[in-house]
Amino acid sequence: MFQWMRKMRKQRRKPWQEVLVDEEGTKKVSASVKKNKQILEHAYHACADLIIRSFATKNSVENNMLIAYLGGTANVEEINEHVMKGLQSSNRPLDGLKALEQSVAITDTKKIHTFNDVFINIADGKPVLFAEGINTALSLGMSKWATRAVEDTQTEPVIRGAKEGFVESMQVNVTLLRKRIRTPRLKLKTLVIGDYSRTQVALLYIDGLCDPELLKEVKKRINGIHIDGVWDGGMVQEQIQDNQRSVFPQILTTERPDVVCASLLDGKCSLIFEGSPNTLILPTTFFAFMQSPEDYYVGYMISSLLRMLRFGFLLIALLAPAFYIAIVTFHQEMIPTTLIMAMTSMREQVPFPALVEALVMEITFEGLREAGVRLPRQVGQAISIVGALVIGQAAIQASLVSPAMVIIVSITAIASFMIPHYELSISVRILRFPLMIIAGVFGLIGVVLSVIAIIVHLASLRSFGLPYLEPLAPFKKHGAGDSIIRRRLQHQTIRPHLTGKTWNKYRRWKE
Amino acid sequence: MKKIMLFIMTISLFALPLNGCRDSNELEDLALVMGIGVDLTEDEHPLVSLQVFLPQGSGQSGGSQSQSKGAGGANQSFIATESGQSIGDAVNKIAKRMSRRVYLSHNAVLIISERMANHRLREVIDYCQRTQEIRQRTLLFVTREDMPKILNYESVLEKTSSISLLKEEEKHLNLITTIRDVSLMKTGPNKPIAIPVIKLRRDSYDPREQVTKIIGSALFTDEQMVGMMNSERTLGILMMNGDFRNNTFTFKPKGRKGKLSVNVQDIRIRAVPTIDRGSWELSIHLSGKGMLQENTTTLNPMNPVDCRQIEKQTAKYLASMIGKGFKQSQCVGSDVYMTYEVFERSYPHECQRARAHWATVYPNIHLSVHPQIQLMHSGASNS
Repeated sequence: MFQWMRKMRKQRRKPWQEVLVDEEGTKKVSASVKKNKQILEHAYHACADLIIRSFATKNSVENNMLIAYLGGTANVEEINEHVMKGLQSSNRPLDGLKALEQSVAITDTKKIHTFNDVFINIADGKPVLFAEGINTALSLGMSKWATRAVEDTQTEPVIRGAKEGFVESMQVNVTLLRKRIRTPRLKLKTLVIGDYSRTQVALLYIDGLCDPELLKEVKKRINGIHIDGVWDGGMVQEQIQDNQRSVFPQILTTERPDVVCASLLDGKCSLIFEGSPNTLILPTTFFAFMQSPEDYYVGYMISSLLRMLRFGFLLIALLAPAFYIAIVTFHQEMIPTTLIMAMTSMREQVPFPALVEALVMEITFEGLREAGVRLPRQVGQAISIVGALVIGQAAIQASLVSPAMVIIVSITAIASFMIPHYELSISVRILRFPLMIIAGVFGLIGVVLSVIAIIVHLASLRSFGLPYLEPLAPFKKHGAGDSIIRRRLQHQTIRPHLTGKTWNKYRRWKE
Repeated sequence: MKKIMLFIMTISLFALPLNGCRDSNELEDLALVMGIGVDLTEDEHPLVSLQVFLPQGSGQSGGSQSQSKGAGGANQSFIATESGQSIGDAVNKIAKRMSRRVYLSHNAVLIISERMANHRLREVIDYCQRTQEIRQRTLLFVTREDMPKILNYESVLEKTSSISLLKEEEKHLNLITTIRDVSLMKTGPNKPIAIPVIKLRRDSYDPREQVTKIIGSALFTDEQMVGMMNSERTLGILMMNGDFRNNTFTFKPKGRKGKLSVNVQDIRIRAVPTIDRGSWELSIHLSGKGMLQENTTTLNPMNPVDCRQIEKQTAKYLASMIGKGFKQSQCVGSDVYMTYEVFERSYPHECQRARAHWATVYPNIHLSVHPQIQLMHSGASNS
């Protein structure tokens, strides 16, 4: 059966070249400029933005040169300055590839033999230069894409620490990393995903820290993806994580270069996508989602306290409505007498059972939250006022919900915003609703059983072979100092052992 | 998929028999019982009064109204009374006629009338210990007052009378007995139990001001009320049991004019039991601290000699207070000081033998108190 499966997979897997390129792609670069031009024009028919320019060198009568690029992707000034000028005024005869290379004043050139590569380089924004009599084309690394300037991260802001975040250009993003880790050991391998989009993906790792097996596995999983186009890491994350049905994310997403650098030094690897500011870090444990990069920049005491606080609020975000429902409908003896007296008075006019009340409020809040994301900025404020009034005041006035429920909903909302990484807070939001229903049906026992079930599930998860609850379950002594608490950096001398045999044990240079 | 199904099945299997929608009670369907009163009718049937919390739909509509009512001392509770074959029967009758479910879990106090306490305390304790909803921490009181009246009085400070009684527990100034305490006390020979006695007092200054006051404690032997000890002597029981916090004692020192008020605190007790040729002796070593609060005598606390004098007089007063209380309990044969336990720790065999006829042993125990009080604070005045 395994053999059959393997065969099936082999059949399904097609090299991307075949899909992308038509018959022209298989053709070789010809020695005749005219012929090359014909092929290009045929392949790029109805592409108004393709610029093909034939021209002659100084000591030639006929047009013996051809340059082609996509308008807007290449640096036009540089082409004019370093290519056209040089070639048109050069006296040297172009009698071979070497002479051609020398007459072009550009560092990044590449020899191309097939039209397949020609198309790829043009798509990447690199102008391709053909010359009469030479059956090899030259790609010139002069691409220039429109990109946003490096700005503050909007989604992961910190008070202390670097403010700059990734942008939509892979090259800029890699520069941001190179700026922080200045060693040739920082390796970068490019992969391509997306049969049409041909999105470049950079796989970053540090040689000697990252396990080669892990890299192999990442590459294998990425090569298994078959998709037209990839616009964000999330589209890949969904397809390469170990348990794709789990609500919990098993790959960390970040917009911050410092987070990526720290992870790389831990022996993890990172995926940077062309066109997306979100990078993926893998393997990842549950605790990485509960940590903010700021934890390492401010004192160990406050960051330990804040981490504990975050875990407390994680429980609140997950369980507060469920506990409220369970206690109010099943375990009234648990409420202090004075409180229950106040609560009975409050609930006297509410027509719904606590479960319905809680569901209505939570769903309203989720709606408000979603609306808040989509709203144009100008009307956002108006809606938030309406939302606050609807949830807070009017609902109580209309006796639809009790004031206690409003408190529960708002503390849940606050708690869910305390989770540093958005993906985990989504998981908590999803899990909250089944928990509420279970609490309404089975009471506290149901809640406790569900929590046990969630923990069992968490313990069974793995991220690229790394147990999801790693420093605590299985317990790792040196890792535990950086989980719920953060020990002083002097004491965190041992690098976490992730997967595989490669384990550079000490956090310092060791040959 | 199979795994998930198995998982859900397991959860359901575990959860189903334990709890379910059928057990749910919405808050607004509960009649919260705040206090229970147990009395006897003319024909010797238990008469149960339940103080039920009256939720006043607060929130917006009645906001201002309820406030003004609250200031006027609106009653936040009502009393439901019913007699029956037994206490449980009576409660059941109330539950039948009430529109909401009678919910006893938040019951804070249980008041037993003296008539009931005299001979039938056992029924009350039995009901409390068996009924699941009743908390072990429910406070017990005995009263001579009219039963519904003492539950129904309007407390000025608290929402209901039961809550004002509940606050007694936090004051640590009086003996407080919970059902759990009774269960523990009952294990001694003769089942000695002490339960505080309350009385309704109307303040002459403000006619609205009504308070329940603890005037002493009822002593029980074999679940029958045998006597009553006054409030100050009850403090001796507290001291011996280690529950004493602080109290101000006012007394006249011997041979002097004027009075001393000393706040005694940090009492430590060491009880040394001895059985010497059939005579049972218990010596109590008591040490504590005193804060002089008022001094109208000629004793000067700044003077070391006078200071010793004050300490000595305070100690003497405490010793006599404990001694009197102990004597009284010996007279009625109710070992509320738990001396049996103290002896049992040192003389297990003798106590085992004496257990059957503890009623004759206990009155003959000789108590000697060796108090030692240290004056901590004299006040700034030295006159």
